[in-house]
Amino acid sequence: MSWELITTATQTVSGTNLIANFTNVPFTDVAFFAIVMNGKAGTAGQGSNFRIGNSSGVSTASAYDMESFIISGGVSAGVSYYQAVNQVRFPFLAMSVNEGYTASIIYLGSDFHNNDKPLCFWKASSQEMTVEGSGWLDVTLTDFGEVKWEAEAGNIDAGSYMSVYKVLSS
Amino acid sequence: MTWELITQVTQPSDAITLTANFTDVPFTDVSCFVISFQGTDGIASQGSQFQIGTSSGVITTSDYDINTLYTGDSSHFSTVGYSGRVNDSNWDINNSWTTANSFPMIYLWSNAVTDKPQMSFQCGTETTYASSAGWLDTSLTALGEVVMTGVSSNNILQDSRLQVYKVTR
Repeated sequence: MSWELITTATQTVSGTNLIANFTNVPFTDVAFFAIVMNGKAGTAGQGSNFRIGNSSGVSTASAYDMESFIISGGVSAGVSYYQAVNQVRFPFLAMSVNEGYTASIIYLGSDFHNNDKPLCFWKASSQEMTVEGSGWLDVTLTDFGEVKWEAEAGNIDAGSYMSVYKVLSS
Repeated sequence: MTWELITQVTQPSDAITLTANFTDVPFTDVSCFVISFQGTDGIASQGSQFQIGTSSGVITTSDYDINTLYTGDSSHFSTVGYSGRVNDSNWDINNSWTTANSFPMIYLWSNAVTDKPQMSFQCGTETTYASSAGWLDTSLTALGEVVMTGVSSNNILQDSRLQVYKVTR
């Protein structure tokens, strides 16, 4: 499998977010993208979220849909932000059982046929939970150039990092 | 190519464990590790488990937390959680519904802030799907060994395979 590293962003000083910004890569040029996140993101009980966009900045529209489930202490729960209940980001780790220490991998693609809108799914781990979910951004995005990992409250701690890969299609 | 194979081990004959041992790779040198197992592990209704450590050996303390969702044949849907102080001495992959064959794909990190390992896996068997995440409450700065073990002393059967990759950053 040909994965090519686009960039790694490492948090040098604790801050409310961590941004990976890079030269735009068209969705049509790759099979899909992969994003790896690792660190302490957000205060306990708050967690973190992410947004995506092109190299000019992430989309801040109220157009992020998300479906997810959580397992913690043997108890499962679902989280749904569907259609009219859109969010301004993917709150993929914004769970009350999240203690902040998280590692995750996100696969990002496009629906192509339906106006080039991004689709993604993820698998994430924290000390007290497993999270698996998917997202759809109801905004046309033909190029990927920025991902912003943001604490719901508190910081993305120093040492945390985020790597972005493109998975080649030929 | 940013997935680099560190090692692949193939079970030469039926045995309780299958071990991948290799030169320590610091977690700070990689984005994450990927561990893949394909084979027949344990007997039906038992399955397997795994432990990680350095090239000197795996961690065997009761510090492994896990939260898992299992589903199968649309009548089984259950969760298993060892979190907080309910620690275990390994990470379980399968459960009482699974057949003995399995294919887990495991992503492994060491938390960039605490140096304590975190993993996440998806696993298919003939009868179940498992989705899991785990935390090891012991610091580990380098990976050098992975051990798969059949539960209740049941075997990892001949020709089963264990692969370890590093994903560079």
